[in-house]
Amino acid sequence: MAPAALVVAPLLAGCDDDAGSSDGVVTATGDGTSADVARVDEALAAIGTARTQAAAAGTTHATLAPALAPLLAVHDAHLDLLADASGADDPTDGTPSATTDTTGPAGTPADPVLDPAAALAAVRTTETTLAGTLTDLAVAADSGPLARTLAAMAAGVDQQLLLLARASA
Amino acid sequence: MTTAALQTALEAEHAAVWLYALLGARTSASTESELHAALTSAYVAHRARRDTLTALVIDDGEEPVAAAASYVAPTPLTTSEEVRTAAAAAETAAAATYGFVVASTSGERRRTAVAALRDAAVRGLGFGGAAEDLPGGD
Repeated sequence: MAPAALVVAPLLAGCDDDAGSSDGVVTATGDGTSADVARVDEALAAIGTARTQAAAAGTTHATLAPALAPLLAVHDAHLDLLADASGADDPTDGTPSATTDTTGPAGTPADPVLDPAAALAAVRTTETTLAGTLTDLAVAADSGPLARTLAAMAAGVDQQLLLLARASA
Repeated sequence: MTTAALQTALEAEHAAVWLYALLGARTSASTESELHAALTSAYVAHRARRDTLTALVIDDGEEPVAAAASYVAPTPLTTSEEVRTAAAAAETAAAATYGFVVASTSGERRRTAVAALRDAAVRGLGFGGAAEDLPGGD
């Protein structure tokens, strides 16, 4: 895999060789770049929330920790990549804070005594939502490279969902 | 550029359809039923994408690229593991191709490409490929 720095550089450029093409494939404006910064921030928040829930599930239910470790590693890689692109502080240093997230994936109160299967199901639901969010952000992105990165992140989450399904089978 | 990206993906789908036909033919439906079903599913998916891409290129007023007269089969393909490896490699290639299409398109065409990328990533993992942080992102 390419080092993050090699991938980040063009992410928020807002344009590529297609810029200004007659069919408007990829727009290349300052406004587009600004909008993409907001999209990166939205992706960071969504991934951070999902990571917090997965980490909490692994902490509450130690038997889930091995299955969730690869998912957390993928989230960390995605957060690092996007944080580099946005100039944000290290997102794995507590954003969003695990202590402030007290709701489940559907806005229901989090239940610390959920059994492992229920906790894992909640994680999978959140991850499925995350993949959809990343897809929507990819489709909306003005920058082609950012779109590809967000789409690849969605695909990476999809792979982890398959691995979680295997683990819970 | 949109149409050029679609043509690139169409070339790849022609090759994928050919490969999955070959892999299916090398796999017993009775003794390797699960693998055969997965290969059949992949064949159907890639054939559908080939047809979709063909239609999009025609919509753009261009001539869709045709399938090559022949392709080079990955070798060897004598065991089910080798078949799985070839299928996983095909999906890795498909994910990269659709990553390129995602970056080169917009709107519904990009959404279709994202869906294809995600499908390739999962399908490849199903065939025994490795999970990645950014499948199709390179």
